[in-house]
Amino acid sequence: MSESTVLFVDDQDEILFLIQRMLKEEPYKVLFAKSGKEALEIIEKEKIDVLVTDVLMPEMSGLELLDHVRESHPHIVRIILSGFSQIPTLLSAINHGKIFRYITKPWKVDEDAKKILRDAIAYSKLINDMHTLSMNAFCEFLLKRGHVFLITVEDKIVHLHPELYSSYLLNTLYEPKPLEFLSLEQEYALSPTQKIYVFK
Amino acid sequence: MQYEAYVDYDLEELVSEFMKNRQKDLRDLEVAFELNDMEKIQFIGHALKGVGSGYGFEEITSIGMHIEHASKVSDTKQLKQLFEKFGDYLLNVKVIFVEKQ
Repeated sequence: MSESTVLFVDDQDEILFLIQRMLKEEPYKVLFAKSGKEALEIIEKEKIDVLVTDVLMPEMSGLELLDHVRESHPHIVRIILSGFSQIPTLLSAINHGKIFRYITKPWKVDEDAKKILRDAIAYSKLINDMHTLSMNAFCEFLLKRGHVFLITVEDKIVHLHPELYSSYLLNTLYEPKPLEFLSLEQEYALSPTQKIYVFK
Repeated sequence: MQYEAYVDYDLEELVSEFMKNRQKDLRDLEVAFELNDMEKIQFIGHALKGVGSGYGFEEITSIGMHIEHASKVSDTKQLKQLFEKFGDYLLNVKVIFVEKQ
Protein backbone atom coordinates (compact mmCIF):
# COMPACT_ATOMS: atom_id res chain seq x y z
CA MET A 1 0.00 0.00 0.00
CA SER A 2 1.33 3.45 -0.83
CA GLU A 3 2.56 5.69 1.95
CA SER A 4 -0.04 8.07 3.36
CA THR A 5 0.58 11.80 3.20
CA VAL A 6 -0.49 14.45 5.68
CA LEU A 7 -0.41 18.13 4.71
CA PHE A 8 -0.13 20.73 7.48
CA VAL A 9 -1.07 24.35 6.91
CA ASP A 10 -0.05 27.11 9.31
CA ASP A 11 1.29 30.58 8.64
CA GLN A 12 3.77 30.27 11.52
CA ASP A 13 7.09 28.59 10.68
CA GLU A 14 7.66 27.92 14.34
CA ILE A 15 4.49 25.83 14.61
CA LEU A 16 5.32 23.88 11.46
CA PHE A 17 8.77 23.16 12.86
CA LEU A 18 7.27 21.79 16.08
CA ILE A 19 4.96 19.56 14.07
CA GLN A 20 7.84 18.31 11.96
CA ARG A 21 9.82 17.58 15.10
CA MET A 22 6.89 15.81 16.75
CA LEU A 23 6.20 13.57 13.76
CA LYS A 24 9.71 12.73 12.62
CA GLU A 25 9.32 9.06 13.52
CA GLU A 26 5.75 8.59 12.35
CA PRO A 27 5.21 6.17 9.45
CA TYR A 28 3.73 8.62 6.96
CA LYS A 29 4.88 11.43 4.74
CA VAL A 30 4.43 14.98 6.04
CA LEU A 31 4.18 18.09 3.88
CA PHE A 32 3.86 21.73 4.92
CA ALA A 33 2.26 24.87 3.53
CA LYS A 34 2.30 28.39 4.93
CA SER A 35 -0.97 29.54 3.38
CA GLY A 36 -4.23 28.24 2.00
CA LYS A 37 -3.11 29.14 -1.51
CA GLU A 38 0.11 27.16 -1.16
CA ALA A 39 -1.85 24.23 0.29
CA LEU A 40 -4.20 24.17 -2.71
CA GLU A 41 -1.22 24.17 -5.07
CA ILE A 42 0.28 21.18 -3.25
CA ILE A 43 -3.06 19.36 -3.28
CA GLU A 44 -3.23 19.72 -7.05
CA LYS A 45 0.21 18.15 -7.44
CA GLU A 46 0.39 15.55 -4.67
CA LYS A 47 -1.90 12.82 -3.41
CA ILE A 48 -2.91 14.08 0.02
CA ASP A 49 -4.76 11.80 2.44
CA VAL A 50 -5.14 14.11 5.44
CA LEU A 51 -5.18 17.91 5.65
CA VAL A 52 -4.52 19.67 8.96
CA THR A 53 -5.04 23.41 8.92
CA ASP A 54 -4.87 26.34 11.28
CA VAL A 55 -7.97 28.54 11.30
CA LEU A 56 -6.67 32.07 11.72
CA MET A 57 -4.46 32.78 8.73
CA PRO A 58 -4.07 35.90 6.60
CA GLU A 59 -5.64 36.01 3.11
CA MET A 60 -7.36 32.62 3.07
CA SER A 61 -8.66 31.37 6.42
CA GLY A 62 -8.52 27.72 7.39
CA LEU A 63 -12.30 27.44 7.01
CA GLU A 64 -12.17 28.82 3.47
CA LEU A 65 -9.45 26.31 2.67
CA LEU A 66 -11.58 23.49 4.09
CA ASP A 67 -14.50 24.58 1.93
CA HIS A 68 -12.33 24.53 -1.19
CA VAL A 69 -10.90 21.11 -0.39
CA ARG A 70 -14.24 19.63 0.58
CA GLU A 71 -15.56 20.69 -2.82
CA SER A 72 -12.59 19.75 -4.99
CA HIS A 73 -11.07 16.78 -3.11
CA PRO A 74 -13.77 15.32 -0.85
CA HIS A 75 -11.72 12.18 -0.18
CA ILE A 76 -9.14 14.20 1.82
CA VAL A 77 -9.76 13.81 5.55
CA ARG A 78 -9.82 17.27 7.11
CA ILE A 79 -8.63 18.33 10.57
CA ILE A 80 -8.52 21.74 12.22
CA LEU A 81 -5.53 22.81 14.28
CA SER A 82 -6.79 25.50 16.60
CA GLY A 83 -7.02 27.00 20.07
CA PHE A 84 -9.90 26.62 22.48
CA SER A 85 -10.83 30.25 21.89
CA GLN A 86 -12.12 29.21 18.47
CA ILE A 87 -14.80 26.92 19.89
CA PRO A 88 -17.79 28.50 18.05
CA THR A 89 -15.85 28.18 14.80
CA LEU A 90 -14.88 24.60 15.61
CA LEU A 91 -18.42 23.61 16.48
CA SER A 92 -19.73 25.14 13.29
CA ALA A 93 -17.10 23.30 11.25
CA ILE A 94 -17.87 20.00 12.95
CA ASN A 95 -21.62 20.39 12.65
CA HIS A 96 -21.40 21.25 8.96
CA GLY A 97 -19.31 18.18 8.28
CA LYS A 98 -16.26 20.13 7.29
CA ILE A 99 -13.85 18.30 9.56
CA PHE A 100 -13.09 14.86 10.94
CA ARG A 101 -11.35 15.96 14.18
CA TYR A 102 -9.53 18.92 15.65
CA ILE A 103 -6.19 19.24 17.35
CA THR A 104 -5.86 21.93 19.98
CA LYS A 105 -3.10 24.45 19.67
CA PRO A 106 -1.02 24.50 21.79
CA TRP A 107 -1.24 20.75 22.20
CA LYS A 108 -0.31 19.47 25.63
CA VAL A 109 0.70 15.94 24.76
CA ASP A 110 2.32 14.90 21.50
CA GLU A 111 0.79 11.44 21.76
CA ASP A 112 -2.75 12.85 21.65
CA ALA A 113 -2.07 14.68 18.41
CA LYS A 114 -0.30 11.63 16.95
CA LYS A 115 -3.27 9.41 17.78
CA ILE A 116 -5.69 11.80 16.08
CA LEU A 117 -3.48 11.76 12.98
CA ARG A 118 -3.25 7.97 12.99
CA ASP A 119 -7.04 7.75 13.30
CA ALA A 120 -7.41 10.18 10.40
CA ILE A 121 -5.11 8.09 8.21
CA ALA A 122 -7.03 4.93 9.09
CA TYR A 123 -10.27 6.75 8.23
CA SER A 124 -8.78 7.92 4.93
CA LYS A 125 -7.89 4.32 4.04
CA LEU A 126 -11.39 3.23 4.93
CA ILE A 127 -12.91 5.88 2.66
CA ASN A 128 -10.61 4.84 -0.19
CA ASP A 129 -11.56 1.19 0.33
CA MET A 130 -15.24 2.13 0.24
CA HIS A 131 -14.75 4.06 -3.01
CA THR A 132 -12.90 1.12 -4.50
CA LEU A 133 -15.63 -1.22 -3.36
CA SER A 134 -18.38 0.91 -4.84
CA MET A 135 -16.39 1.31 -8.04
CA ASN A 136 -15.84 -2.46 -8.26
CA ALA A 137 -19.52 -3.11 -7.63
CA PHE A 138 -20.40 -0.64 -10.37
CA CYS A 139 -17.91 -2.28 -12.74
CA GLU A 140 -19.49 -5.68 -12.14
CA PHE A 141 -22.90 -4.25 -12.88
CA LEU A 142 -21.70 -2.68 -16.15
CA LEU A 143 -19.89 -5.86 -17.24
CA LYS A 144 -23.00 -7.95 -16.61
CA ARG A 145 -25.01 -5.56 -18.75
CA GLY A 146 -22.45 -5.82 -21.55
CA HIS A 147 -21.32 -2.21 -21.42
CA VAL A 148 -17.95 -1.01 -22.69
CA PHE A 149 -16.45 1.52 -20.33
CA LEU A 150 -13.38 3.02 -18.75
CA ILE A 151 -12.78 4.60 -15.36
CA THR A 152 -10.66 7.61 -14.54
CA VAL A 153 -9.40 9.01 -11.27
CA GLU A 154 -8.24 12.60 -11.48
CA ASP A 155 -8.39 12.31 -15.28
CA LYS A 156 -6.09 9.28 -15.41
CA ILE A 157 -7.44 5.97 -16.67
CA VAL A 158 -7.41 3.34 -13.94
CA HIS A 159 -9.65 0.72 -15.57
CA LEU A 160 -10.04 -0.05 -19.25
CA HIS A 161 -12.61 -2.45 -20.67
CA PRO A 162 -10.99 -5.25 -22.77
CA GLU A 163 -12.87 -4.17 -25.90
CA LEU A 164 -11.03 -0.86 -25.75
CA TYR A 165 -7.55 -2.39 -25.58
CA SER A 166 -7.04 -2.62 -29.30
CA SER A 167 -8.16 0.89 -29.97
CA TYR A 168 -6.27 4.10 -30.05
CA LEU A 169 -6.71 4.30 -26.31
CA LEU A 170 -4.02 1.74 -25.68
CA ASN A 171 -1.36 4.15 -26.84
CA THR A 172 -2.86 7.19 -25.21
CA LEU A 173 -3.66 6.00 -21.73
CA TYR A 174 -2.44 9.09 -19.99
CA GLU A 175 -3.23 11.64 -22.64
CA PRO A 176 -5.78 14.24 -21.62
CA LYS A 177 -8.18 13.65 -24.54
CA PRO A 178 -8.30 9.99 -25.51
CA LEU A 179 -12.05 9.83 -25.85
CA GLU A 180 -12.90 12.23 -28.63
CA PHE A 181 -13.27 9.70 -31.44
CA LEU A 182 -15.51 7.37 -29.45
CA SER A 183 -19.20 7.85 -29.01
CA LEU A 184 -19.75 8.49 -25.35
CA GLU A 185 -23.11 7.24 -24.16
CA GLN A 186 -23.07 8.09 -20.50
CA GLU A 187 -20.76 9.65 -17.95
CA TYR A 188 -21.04 8.85 -14.24
CA ALA A 189 -19.26 10.80 -11.54
CA LEU A 190 -18.66 8.70 -8.45
CA SER A 191 -16.91 11.70 -6.96
CA PRO A 192 -15.48 14.95 -8.36
CA THR A 193 -12.27 13.09 -9.15
CA GLN A 194 -13.56 9.62 -10.04
CA LYS A 195 -15.55 9.11 -13.26
CA ILE A 196 -16.89 6.27 -15.35
CA TYR A 197 -17.32 6.71 -19.10
CA VAL A 198 -19.70 4.23 -20.75
CA PHE A 199 -19.44 3.90 -24.53
CA LYS A 200 -22.06 1.27 -25.33
CA MET B 1 10.46 39.76 38.24
CA GLN B 2 12.25 36.47 37.54
CA TYR B 3 10.77 33.80 35.29
CA GLU B 4 11.95 30.35 34.30
CA ALA B 5 11.27 28.43 31.09
CA TYR B 6 12.10 24.74 30.71
CA VAL B 7 13.13 24.10 27.14
CA ASP B 8 14.12 20.81 25.50
CA TYR B 9 17.81 20.50 24.71
CA ASP B 10 17.11 19.80 21.07
CA LEU B 11 15.50 23.23 20.73
CA GLU B 12 18.58 25.00 22.12
CA GLU B 13 19.76 26.31 18.76
CA LEU B 14 16.36 27.81 18.05
CA VAL B 15 15.82 29.70 21.28
CA SER B 16 17.75 32.79 20.22
CA GLU B 17 15.67 33.14 17.02
CA PHE B 18 12.51 32.36 18.96
CA MET B 19 13.20 35.19 21.42
CA LYS B 20 14.01 37.61 18.58
CA ASN B 21 10.67 36.77 17.00
CA ARG B 22 8.90 37.46 20.30
CA GLN B 23 10.65 40.84 20.59
CA LYS B 24 9.32 41.62 17.13
CA ASP B 25 5.87 40.49 18.22
CA LEU B 26 6.04 42.91 21.13
CA ARG B 27 7.01 45.78 18.83
CA ASP B 28 4.20 44.85 16.43
CA LEU B 29 1.74 44.75 19.33
CA GLU B 30 2.75 48.22 20.45
CA VAL B 31 2.43 49.63 16.94
CA ALA B 32 -0.98 47.99 16.51
CA PHE B 33 -2.03 49.41 19.88
CA GLU B 34 -1.06 52.92 18.77
CA LEU B 35 -3.18 52.40 15.66
CA ASN B 36 -6.00 50.92 17.74
CA ASP B 37 -5.83 47.87 15.49
CA MET B 38 -7.52 45.32 17.76
CA GLU B 39 -7.77 42.75 15.00
CA LYS B 40 -4.01 42.71 14.56
CA ILE B 41 -3.49 42.52 18.34
CA GLN B 42 -5.87 39.60 18.53
CA PHE B 43 -4.04 37.87 15.70
CA ILE B 44 -0.64 38.25 17.38
CA GLY B 45 -2.06 37.20 20.76
CA HIS B 46 -3.50 34.09 19.13
CA ALA B 47 -0.15 33.29 17.53
CA LEU B 48 1.72 33.75 20.83
CA LYS B 49 -0.72 31.44 22.54
CA GLY B 50 -0.13 28.79 19.91
CA VAL B 51 3.63 28.91 19.82
CA GLY B 52 4.73 29.53 23.44
CA SER B 53 4.28 26.27 25.27
CA GLY B 54 5.39 24.19 22.31
CA TYR B 55 8.87 25.61 22.86
CA GLY B 56 8.63 25.44 26.66
CA PHE B 57 7.54 29.04 27.28
CA GLU B 58 4.25 28.44 29.05
CA GLU B 59 4.08 32.06 30.19
CA ILE B 60 4.08 33.27 26.58
CA THR B 61 1.11 31.05 25.83
CA SER B 62 -0.66 32.47 28.89
CA ILE B 63 0.14 36.09 27.98
CA GLY B 64 -0.94 35.46 24.38
CA MET B 65 -4.23 34.02 25.54
CA HIS B 66 -4.92 37.06 27.73
CA ILE B 67 -3.93 39.46 24.94
CA GLU B 68 -6.29 37.68 22.59
CA HIS B 69 -9.17 37.93 25.06
CA ALA B 70 -8.50 41.56 26.00
CA SER B 71 -8.32 42.62 22.36
CA LYS B 72 -11.66 41.01 21.63
CA VAL B 73 -13.32 43.39 24.11
CA SER B 74 -10.94 46.29 23.36
CA ASP B 75 -9.77 46.38 26.98
CA THR B 76 -6.95 48.88 26.42
CA LYS B 77 -6.03 49.14 30.09
CA GLN B 78 -5.46 45.41 30.38
CA LEU B 79 -3.64 45.29 27.06
CA LYS B 80 -1.16 47.90 28.28
CA GLN B 81 -0.49 45.85 31.39
CA LEU B 82 -0.08 42.70 29.35
CA PHE B 83 2.41 44.35 27.00
CA GLU B 84 4.43 45.50 30.02
CA LYS B 85 4.34 42.02 31.44
CA PHE B 86 5.35 40.53 28.10
CA GLY B 87 8.29 42.95 27.82
CA ASP B 88 9.34 42.20 31.39
CA TYR B 89 9.16 38.48 30.71
CA LEU B 90 11.29 38.71 27.58
CA LEU B 91 13.92 40.69 29.48
CA ASN B 92 14.06 38.49 32.56
CA VAL B 93 13.20 34.94 31.62
CA LYS B 94 15.86 32.40 32.49
CA VAL B 95 15.96 29.51 30.05
CA ILE B 96 16.75 26.12 31.57
CA PHE B 97 17.46 23.33 29.12
CA VAL B 98 16.13 19.90 29.98
CA GLU B 99 15.98 16.43 28.44
CA LYS B 100 12.78 15.84 26.51
CA GLN B 101 10.28 14.08 28.75
